[in-house]
Amino acid sequence: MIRHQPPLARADLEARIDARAPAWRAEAAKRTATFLTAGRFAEPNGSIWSDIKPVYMQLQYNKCIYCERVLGAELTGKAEHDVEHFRPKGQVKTWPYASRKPSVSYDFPTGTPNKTGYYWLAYDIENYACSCKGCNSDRKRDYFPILGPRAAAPTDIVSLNKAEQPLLLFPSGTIGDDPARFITFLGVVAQVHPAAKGVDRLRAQVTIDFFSLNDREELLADRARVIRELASKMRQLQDKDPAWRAAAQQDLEQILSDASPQAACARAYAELVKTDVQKAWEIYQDVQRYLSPGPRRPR
Amino acid sequence: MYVRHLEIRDLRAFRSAAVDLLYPGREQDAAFEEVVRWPVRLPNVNVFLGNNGSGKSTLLDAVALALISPLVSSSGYRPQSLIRRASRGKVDTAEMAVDLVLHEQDGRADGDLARLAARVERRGAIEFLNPMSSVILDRYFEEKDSSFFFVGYGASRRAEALSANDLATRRRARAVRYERVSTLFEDHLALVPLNAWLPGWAIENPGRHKQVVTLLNKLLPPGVTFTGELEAGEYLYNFRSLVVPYTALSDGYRAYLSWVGDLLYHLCMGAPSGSKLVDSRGVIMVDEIDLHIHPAWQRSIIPTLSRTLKNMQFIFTTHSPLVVSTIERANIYNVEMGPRATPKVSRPAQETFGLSADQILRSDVFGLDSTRDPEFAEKLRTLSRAAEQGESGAALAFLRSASAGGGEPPPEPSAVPDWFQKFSDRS
Repeated sequence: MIRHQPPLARADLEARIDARAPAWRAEAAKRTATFLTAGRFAEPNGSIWSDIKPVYMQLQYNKCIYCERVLGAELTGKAEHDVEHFRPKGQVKTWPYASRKPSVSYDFPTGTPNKTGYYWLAYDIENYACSCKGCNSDRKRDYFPILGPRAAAPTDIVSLNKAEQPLLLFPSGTIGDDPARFITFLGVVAQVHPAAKGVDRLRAQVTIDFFSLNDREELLADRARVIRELASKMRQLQDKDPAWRAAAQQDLEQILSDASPQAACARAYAELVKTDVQKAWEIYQDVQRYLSPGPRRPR
Repeated sequence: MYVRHLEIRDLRAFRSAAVDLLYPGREQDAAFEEVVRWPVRLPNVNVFLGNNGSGKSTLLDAVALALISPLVSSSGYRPQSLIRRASRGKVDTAEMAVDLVLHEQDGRADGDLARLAARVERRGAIEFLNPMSSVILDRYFEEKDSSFFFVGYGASRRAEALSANDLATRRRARAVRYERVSTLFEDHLALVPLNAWLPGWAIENPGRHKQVVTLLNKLLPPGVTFTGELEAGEYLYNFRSLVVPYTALSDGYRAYLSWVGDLLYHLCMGAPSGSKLVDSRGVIMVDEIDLHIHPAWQRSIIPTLSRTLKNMQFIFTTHSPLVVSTIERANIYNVEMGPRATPKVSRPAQETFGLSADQILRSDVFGLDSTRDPEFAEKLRTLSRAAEQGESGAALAFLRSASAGGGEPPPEPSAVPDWFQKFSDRS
């Protein structure tokens, strides 16, 4: 999970949306007004948030906002992205739910459910991000765990973030969180950042649990591939041919950039090579074993 | 005594099968020539792996039947439905045979070979099991020593309350050798619980008693210890920080203690006084070794048994990939449905070891979080939890377990190569 740079302020986001769909914001405002009157979210004729999906896809380099998996591109792969409402629009259910696997439990309350959700944010552009089906449809759904009581309706996002304490990280925009402060990686495993204390610690832990960041093999495999790729470029950096070395340097920067899959994991690994070269090397060997689990015949 | 080799024909679902078994000290002969690492890490462990109904229990039963065959007519065992039911033609006989390695303990020279074979015949509705071997094994017909030691525990094993365990009554119903494997064949039979015999040893033979207490503690998983003390006729155990009687332990511990207690009973009865229990040789068969046992313990149960009773030969069946992930290819036989509706027994193919272990793990699709078996996924989950919390080494252990079942121990980490170090040194 990373926050893409630079994070956009509301006005910047509005400008991008207007450029893509000039009439969209006016229509969204109209619909929001009816929700406010009704006191709940209801959309008899279908929603329109998908119209601005590409704005978010572009911001996120077509990666899922939560798990950093690379999804389809605009021309052919839009369907892989969900427009995800950070605060649920229709209702809020209790999380963790009893039948969840793997099961988790906390010694602190995670917020009360309600039947109306954050209906006034259904068309708030700062409440959106693009995410994969695994993160949104399978996990995020109508859940929004918070610490303490829920704020009253209708409150804008900035005030909401002051009035209630979300337990999930929202790594988007100037109002969002910078996950690098909360979550780091040791090899392929997401960990609570050692510098995160108090509530930050809880938020990191809940976010890792909530999106099963360590239980989804597709994510582990992605991260393992990124580490293997990094190491192969590190080796190429020692090549005799200066042109190869230059290419390797370029690739390295690319792998560590926002645009790459599992960038947060890649950065943490590059850092580990510098701080604990022995452990980093062991992890690399394990990664290789993990990616090619065939028998190792003695040579 | 150890079992080297098993052959069966027309037994239950099997048309035929032949299996070579590992035992302590086995040479790497033709049967194991394709094994790369020798000796095998757990050289006394054999595991039949397969789904329900695949026929893995039949293999255990076949070993037991061949072993009791010389005394079967007066053992108390009654053959039933042993002969394969053929869809076409008529099958009237079934056969089983084991090749044995004998020792001084069996009244022979160490390394002597012997073969016990038996044939099942049908007359009308009745099946008869007849011994076919002519070898003379005098000590086999003794009941009070440790010669020809073999025990077997079926999936319905349990220890009974004290009242049902009048040991003299038991002796009248079944010959000792058969009683030791009877739960493989009879569902409602109770095993001998510890409190039926161990208290007496505390006075009669304190040295032996102490050995049993020590052994039992080595065989129990971390977190549970056997105190050796009684309260109201029940043995007390330390469970975490509590002292609880046997009856208050959870099913998993009780199911395990029931057969381990019975095993120790038979071991104690036979072993000559002054000898160490762990020096006894013999064959221990356990059906569904993972029965009622939680995942973390499943990962350690086979290595613990194997190393604690290192002179015993073990034959287990299981369908738990967690159990399997603690052993090597040479320890495993896959039992699966083959062509013509008959089970096929094979070692996991060498070239596909990693893959086939992975296939085992992926055979039960878990759903959302992993395609691995739920129990394995749960184990990974525990490890990843530890890794999240920054427990040292957990992140590495996680990757290792995640790679293809973790059947083989990871290679020793090599030295950091130059190119890697150079990147580390770069500012």
